[in-house]
Amino acid sequence: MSAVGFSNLRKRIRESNLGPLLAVLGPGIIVAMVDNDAGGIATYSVAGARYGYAILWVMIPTAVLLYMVQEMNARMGVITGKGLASLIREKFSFRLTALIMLAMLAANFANTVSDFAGIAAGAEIFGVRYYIAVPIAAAGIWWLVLKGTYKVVEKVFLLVSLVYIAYIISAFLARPDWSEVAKGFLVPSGSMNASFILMVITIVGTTIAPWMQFYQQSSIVDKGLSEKDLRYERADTGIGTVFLVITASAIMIACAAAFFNNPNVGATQIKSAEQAALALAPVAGDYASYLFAFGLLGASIFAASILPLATAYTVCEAFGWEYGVDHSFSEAPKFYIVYTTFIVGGAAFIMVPGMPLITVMLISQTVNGLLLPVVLTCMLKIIRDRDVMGDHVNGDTYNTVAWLAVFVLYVLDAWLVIATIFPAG
Amino acid sequence: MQEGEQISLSDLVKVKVYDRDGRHIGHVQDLAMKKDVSTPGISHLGIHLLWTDRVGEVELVRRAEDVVLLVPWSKVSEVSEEAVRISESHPALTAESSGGLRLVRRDILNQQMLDQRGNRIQRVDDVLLRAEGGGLVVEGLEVSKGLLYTSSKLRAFIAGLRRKHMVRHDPDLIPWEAVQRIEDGKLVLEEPPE
Repeated sequence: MSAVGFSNLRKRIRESNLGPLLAVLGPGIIVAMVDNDAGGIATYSVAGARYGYAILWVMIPTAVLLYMVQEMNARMGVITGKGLASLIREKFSFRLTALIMLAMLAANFANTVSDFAGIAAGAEIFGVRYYIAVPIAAAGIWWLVLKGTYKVVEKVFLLVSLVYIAYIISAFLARPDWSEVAKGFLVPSGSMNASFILMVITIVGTTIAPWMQFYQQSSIVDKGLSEKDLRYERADTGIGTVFLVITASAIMIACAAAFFNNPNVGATQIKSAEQAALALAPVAGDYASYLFAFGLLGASIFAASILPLATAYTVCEAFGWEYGVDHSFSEAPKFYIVYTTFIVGGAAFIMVPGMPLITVMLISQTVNGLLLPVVLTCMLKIIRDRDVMGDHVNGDTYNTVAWLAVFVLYVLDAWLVIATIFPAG
Repeated sequence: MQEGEQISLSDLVKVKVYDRDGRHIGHVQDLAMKKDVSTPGISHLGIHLLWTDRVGEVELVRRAEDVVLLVPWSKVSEVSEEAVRISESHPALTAESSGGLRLVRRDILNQQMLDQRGNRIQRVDDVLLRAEGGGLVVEGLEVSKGLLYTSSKLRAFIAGLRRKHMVRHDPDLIPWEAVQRIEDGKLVLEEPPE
């Protein structure tokens, strides 16, 4: 296309509704994409391998729950111009805020470690040793945030999120039975035994994590969105949720097609994303295997960038310290110290042989499970406060539905925490 | 409270309020002061009433709950961490408008402090009050709660402000005199001397 052609296209986009939408797009999509990190990919892989297409329907109610929660964050961010940590601090107390921050620091650090583990595993599949890949990835991520402006960082992150297309292609290469896939989405099924229910809970727990609420709201504030942008931010959240469901479903479909009911592969032997990637090769071909591994590598790098950033934003906001990627190190030292500690600490954890990775994952899962109800309760109280939200409080019906949804999350979360601490069998 | 005695806002909030007849009528919700930061005196007590059927001279059609009334500080007879007593009988309390007033809990506690260049310093962890002339004045803003250590940069900043105002305080306290203005819910502090 010529320069004139591009100019006309840009003009047409500006004049249509697409211009403002494109300007607002970002926080909702990024947060949803990062949610499909190394831990998420592992969960969806295991779910597809063990339960086949019968577990796909779980993604529909999960997506509805996720959208409801993230939409409330978007609304709070746009209307108040404050992050969730600020609002919790102002509405509740310093002590509650400090406790939430401590729990989130622990959970997010564990998640960051798992993402560096994903980088190590993904790189090893491509023949790059982890002790080379992990430091390079850590340095690259750190440099991008330290040297980039918010606009640059967000654009890079949006571009990186294209890596998830790898999973969609992998799903096609695995040659699934599409009529069974459609049935899996539309007809709730699956043997309702304890292990299936635990898998459902793990999917929900993996998909809706506390850091997401803090990150999306802070990003919206950082981006300076106002009330007139609300409908576009809702669209951003909706698009992100749809992307998340498509990607997660593609992972499940690929693993279901390749491993479930396949006598040549022990479906129950698939316990991690890298095992799934390697096992795909003889079943769905080398391309599917490499694409899956590429997705794992890209998603882990993406998440390892965002999670430390989300943590740094949230902690600084809660305690009132200067923050933001547009500030220099001397202007926002604590922001960069938290960020750097997470990147360096997470990478170093992986580099030391024999570190208890499984224990770290279990800690992360448990702390997230305990933290989510607390955060959601705070959110639902804030969003009903007219002093804070004005006319944008939750309506009675929406609020009842939101409380019901959150109640379901409480029950699922409690079950997950109990099952994590006291595993059956 | 004795003259010069100090109390933190967080120790005062939720303390039970009793009327002249010794009846428990509600709890401390907030304190009010003038918007002009050069006047640190507390002018009103915000009471979260258990119930009321009148607001000042106005009789309500029916009882209302969850009501916060601002009572002039002159009606407060005793303040401690255990109880606050007022010299009027519930529900015939003197109620005044919150217009033109700043609420200490709502507008100061947990709010962001900025330096002169607009950089975030820290949030207000607590507000220290001091008994003076039969009333309460805002002594300063606390910036550490023990869970987190204040940074050396912040400590130097606070020390500079304390030297400037020639006050001897808890090292984690920013004197109220250092608050230059409050804009958009943020407290702007003056620069400490070089």
